Amino acid sequence: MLYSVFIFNKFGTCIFHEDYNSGDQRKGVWVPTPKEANKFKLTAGLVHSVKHFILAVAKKEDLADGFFGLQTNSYKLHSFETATGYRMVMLTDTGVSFAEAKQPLREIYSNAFVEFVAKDPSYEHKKLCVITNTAFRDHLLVYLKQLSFFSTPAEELQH
Amino acid sequence: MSASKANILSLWIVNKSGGLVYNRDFLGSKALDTNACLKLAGMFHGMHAISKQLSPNPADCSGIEVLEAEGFKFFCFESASGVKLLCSTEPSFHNAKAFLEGVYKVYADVLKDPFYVIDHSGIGQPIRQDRFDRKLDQLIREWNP
Repeated sequence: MLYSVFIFNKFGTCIFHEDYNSGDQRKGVWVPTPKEANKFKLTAGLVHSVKHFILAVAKKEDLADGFFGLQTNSYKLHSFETATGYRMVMLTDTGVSFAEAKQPLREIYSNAFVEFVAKDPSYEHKKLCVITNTAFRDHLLVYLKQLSFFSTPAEELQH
Repeated sequence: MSASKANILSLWIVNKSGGLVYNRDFLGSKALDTNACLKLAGMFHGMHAISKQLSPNPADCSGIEVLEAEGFKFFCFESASGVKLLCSTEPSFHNAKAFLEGVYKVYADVLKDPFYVIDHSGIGQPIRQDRFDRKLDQLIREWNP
């Protein structure tokens, strides 16, 4: 089951976030509350630290997109970083394998992000510019809903 | 359950304050120096704590258990006392939990040494016991054929 999606830019700012399957429906333009902003910073910081940890353990200078994800007993975090420094992060329950989430993360980037954000003339690749485009959010929701693991809880997925 | 051709590459033991008390490389050639390991152990300790906060229910979260990267996998087993046993493995390795539980049993023997201090205001005493190394050698032979 998919819990949420985050998109971070290369400065570490969270430019998009949405929770799914949580029962609440957000309406209108996305404006993060201070409590949410804290959670975004934690997520951005965690992913950033893990990436550096992996680089150090692997003894490499630069790993294009070396970090696939991490798992705990209650959730899994899947990550995909583009060459331009944008990072797509998905939080799911433990039923979704890392291999299964790879392609969706890339498609979120190529089908939704590039089409509706990068090509949007009002979006700038600057530090504090967040995604305010509702077309992006709607298109992303349509894409995510057709994924096999979108709302299937872990017990029902065959692994 | 068999490890077949998969290998365990290295093992770290971190005490509950985040200090590295033991590190060992099993394949020799890729050894990291001790200072780097100390730093990374501390980093991991912090990451582990933060990962609990991102959970849908933080009170019940075990923290990072598996880290998957290109070229290797990293496993963490946290005991009830807060000691973390970490190991890196080949990417094809499925689950190192059984191995880490085996290490934990060997580690419990170390604690029986009356001169071994687990935690002295945050600084862990490094484990330097031949018996521990020998028992680990025995264990690792079962996992790295």
